[in-house]
Amino acid sequence: MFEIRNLSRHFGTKVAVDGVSFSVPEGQMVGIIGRSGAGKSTLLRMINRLADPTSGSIRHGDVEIAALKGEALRRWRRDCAMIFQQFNLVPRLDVLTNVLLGRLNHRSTALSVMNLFSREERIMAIAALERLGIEQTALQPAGTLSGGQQQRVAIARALMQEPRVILADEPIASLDPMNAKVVMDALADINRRDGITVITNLHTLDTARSYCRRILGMAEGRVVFDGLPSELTTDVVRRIYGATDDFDEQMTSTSLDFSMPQALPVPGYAMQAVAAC
Amino acid sequence: MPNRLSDRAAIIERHWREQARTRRLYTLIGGGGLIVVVALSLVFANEANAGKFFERLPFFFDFTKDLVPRDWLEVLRAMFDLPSPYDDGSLKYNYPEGRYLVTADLYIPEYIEKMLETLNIALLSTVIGALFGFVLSFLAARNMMPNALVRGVARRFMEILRAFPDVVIAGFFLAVLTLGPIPAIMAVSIHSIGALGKMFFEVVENADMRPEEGLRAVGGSWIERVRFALVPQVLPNFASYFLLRFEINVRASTIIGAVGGGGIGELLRLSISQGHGAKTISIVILLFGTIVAVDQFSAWLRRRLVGGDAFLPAT
Amino acid sequence: MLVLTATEMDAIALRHPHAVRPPFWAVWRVPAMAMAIAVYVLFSWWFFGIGQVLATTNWQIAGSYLLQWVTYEYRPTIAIDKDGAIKVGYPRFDPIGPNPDPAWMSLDRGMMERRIEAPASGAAQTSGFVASPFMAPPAKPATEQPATRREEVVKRAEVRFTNEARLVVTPDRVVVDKDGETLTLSVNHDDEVKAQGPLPAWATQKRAGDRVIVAFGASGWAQIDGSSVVIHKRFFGWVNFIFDTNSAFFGKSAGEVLHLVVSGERLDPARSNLALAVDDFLHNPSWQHLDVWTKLLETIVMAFIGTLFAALVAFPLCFVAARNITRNRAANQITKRFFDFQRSVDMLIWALFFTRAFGPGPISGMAAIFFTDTGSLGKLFSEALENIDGKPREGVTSVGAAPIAVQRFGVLPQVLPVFVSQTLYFWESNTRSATIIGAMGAGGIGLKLWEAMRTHTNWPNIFYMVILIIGTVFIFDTISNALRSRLIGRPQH
Repeated sequence: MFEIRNLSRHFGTKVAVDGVSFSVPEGQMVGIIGRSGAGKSTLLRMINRLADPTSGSIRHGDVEIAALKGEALRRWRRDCAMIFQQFNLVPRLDVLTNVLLGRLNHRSTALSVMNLFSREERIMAIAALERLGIEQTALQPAGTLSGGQQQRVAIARALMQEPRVILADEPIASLDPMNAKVVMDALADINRRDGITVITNLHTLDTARSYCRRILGMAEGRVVFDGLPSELTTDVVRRIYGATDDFDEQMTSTSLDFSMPQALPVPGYAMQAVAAC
Repeated sequence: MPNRLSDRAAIIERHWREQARTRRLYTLIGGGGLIVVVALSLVFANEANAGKFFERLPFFFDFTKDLVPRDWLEVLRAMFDLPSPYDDGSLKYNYPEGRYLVTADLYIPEYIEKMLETLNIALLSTVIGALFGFVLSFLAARNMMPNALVRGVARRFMEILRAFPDVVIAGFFLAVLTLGPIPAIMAVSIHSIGALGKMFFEVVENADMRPEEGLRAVGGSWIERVRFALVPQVLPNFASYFLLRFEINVRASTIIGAVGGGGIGELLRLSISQGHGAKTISIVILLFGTIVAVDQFSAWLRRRLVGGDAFLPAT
Repeated sequence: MLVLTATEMDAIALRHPHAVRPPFWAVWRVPAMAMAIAVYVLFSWWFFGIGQVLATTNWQIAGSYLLQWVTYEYRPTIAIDKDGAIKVGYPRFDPIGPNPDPAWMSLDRGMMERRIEAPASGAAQTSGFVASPFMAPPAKPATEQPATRREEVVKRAEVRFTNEARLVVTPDRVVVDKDGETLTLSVNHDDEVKAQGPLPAWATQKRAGDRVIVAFGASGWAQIDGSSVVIHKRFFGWVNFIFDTNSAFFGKSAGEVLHLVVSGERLDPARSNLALAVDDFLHNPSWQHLDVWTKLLETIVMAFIGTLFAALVAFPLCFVAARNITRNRAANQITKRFFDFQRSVDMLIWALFFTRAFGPGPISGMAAIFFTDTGSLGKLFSEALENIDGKPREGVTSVGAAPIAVQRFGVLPQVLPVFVSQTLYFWESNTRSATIIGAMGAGGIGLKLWEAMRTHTNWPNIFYMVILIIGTVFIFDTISNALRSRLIGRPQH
């Protein structure tokens, strides 16, 4: 259980996140949608504490995340894996080492710095890569991989952390539709099979509808919608995206607009359509 | 072409002419100022110099006369410490005296040994400079050190090390320690720490911070983030700057040698002041060859490390 | 999830043997590099005998030299004559000035009947003057005949080093107090000193009866032998920085000096007080302001002219050296090798040669910088030319321009900012290099600095010059950075 209360973040006079409150039960898959600049990324980064909240609280169990420091903060980050739009791998290191870096907080700094990982850890890393279907790239430098492969390496690294929560900040924004589906399927699989809570920012409405059981809509730093995908009516969507009457849902979908039908009848339809191509 | 311009065009034309006139005026003032400064400087330098330029100019090549050895083979003999047929017991022709004996028969010629010593001074100083500069650079880089106080202290410290004249450092340690290579090592390394630290932290500041963010999200400590996110990125550039500094330090340690820091520089100054032509020429050849070799080697290695990036040589 | 059983692990290991066993170099590269560096440093430690030198170095000297950068000393000698008369003398060039009566020393005087022996008075006055290189000639004995006479002498002298440390000299003993500890030394006028009780940590004596040195940290030290006490009272700051003891303005406060300059009576009837003050300041014998500034200017001029002329010569030559401008292999190669030659015959060698040709002074330094940097700048300029964008040149050629015009309008606008920026960079770095080639005989502040360093005593002057140099380099650094960022359009550094 994960509870956010009145969380705010100011950048100078600008308010990025404004008094956000919600809670996420263990094992849920939550999608956050909204325009760029609505404060989605800032919210996720505050949960991982890559950004510090200006005010408010984040609680996980009995732990006040917003007040963590030093060693405890790093332990929290281990429990709360983060996946980035730009993958944030180390391009010059090989894929296996990149995955092994997920173990950094499980071992002493001295051992890590000497690049000494145990056989068990290496096997774990290979298993994670196998699960994501990219074990054949294990010894290549991460920078030489395609975007979709790199994002899967990042997910494998997140798995190595043995996290309780995975935060994904626009995980598919830089990917083509095929790779986007593979990555989202992997996240959904982790959520379903391992029971890890997944909170993901998405900028395409259709993806959120097809993968998430719960959707949060953000506009100008506030949560303006919190409910099931089926409750996302055109009115709600307009409110989230702050659009006028001529707003078309297609506009929120950047990756799939070539195959989108005029109206979106069934959640998940678009993804199936992509999978079929 | 129309001879008469429209009103708008006429205005533009007038502006253009005015601008051109101001630019010409500035150029004239700047150029005139420069010429005056240069002329004054030259007169001043001429007055301050021991020998006057135009008086001494006819004798400009006189020093080459002192350099001409009795026999061009002497240069080789001096370089390899072979006995000279002109040996009259004086220091001038007594080449074998400087031999550095490894065993009774095997020796390293004096100048080659001293050249190696100078190279070693340069290498050691560069290594020391790189080790300290490495640590300091991460403390001085804005993206790795959020604490402005630590950053400021690290930067000011490197600035002072860099600006401190190396003659003074060498002179100070010559006064405290003995004569010999250690003051030279101190002077060259202290300068290298400042110079390399600065180059390094600029590399760090230009590094891609996404991997670092990834590792921060994993829960990696500061040292782990430096080790895995930054070092793999910056190491090729660090190595390239290291080589560049090594080139500069070979020259610097020769010069410091000439003011008492040992190595080949000292021998060169002595042999020039004593007018030992063959010795001077052999040292100059040795020095020239070494510098060319070091430059070529380092340029080749740098090209392999970072591709064709041209670096501005820095002091 | 990732919790695997042993059999699963073995299965994975079997499927991916190459990935499970880490590549040898991936694991050992870093330790091997660290090891190699450590071995090299140890080798050099041995090669240069660093450990030995550091162990035998007297670090106290280093500390005292460093302290002297920012401090000065008064060195009075308190001499105790055989008959118990105490005399306080100052070396001739002591910074305290002609009428010493410092607040930190109090003297109790009294009348005393003395037999005047000819050599005694002279010796007492000059003993302990060793520190000054300009030692005063011993005073000629005033009287040939021994005589008796009543004169006023010092009976007791007290020197206060700090609030807690003082030294009291009486005719038969010297008492030193420091931080509650007291050391009493009896002196017998025969160069023998005996300590009563054990020596405290701050006092040293090499042999029994030998002189005793008592140290008071940064506030000074004193040396006590059988017949005299040499005081080294240390103060922070640069003494007599503005006016020396010979100046009429010595010892006057800023207000007094200002008053004299503005409305005071002429101290020297021949010229105004302002002229006198300026002259006294510039020719201050202990700081030699005018000379130092002239030498600094020489160094600046050396770097400026050397770099400027180098750029002027390199400019036309680089067009010959650049492959894409001059399509003549032989011309390219000859010019480039010429640049390499000038660069590689080091500034040191050029400086040594030119000092022989022109004598020490800025012209030699200038010539050395000019020769080396013609090569360096030429190389950089020609590289910049070879990297230019060919399109503007084609554009200018396409309108039918003459070759010179093509270079002027198609090439120059691209490379000129780079050229100027590199020249500025060299100007700045040559200001630094000019100092060191100056020390080798090319004149300027480098030579003055080097000469001052060789005496091992002029540390405040050295620090003064160092500050001037650092300031100059800093100013030039700022100017050249500002100019460069303006030229290139983005901040460099």
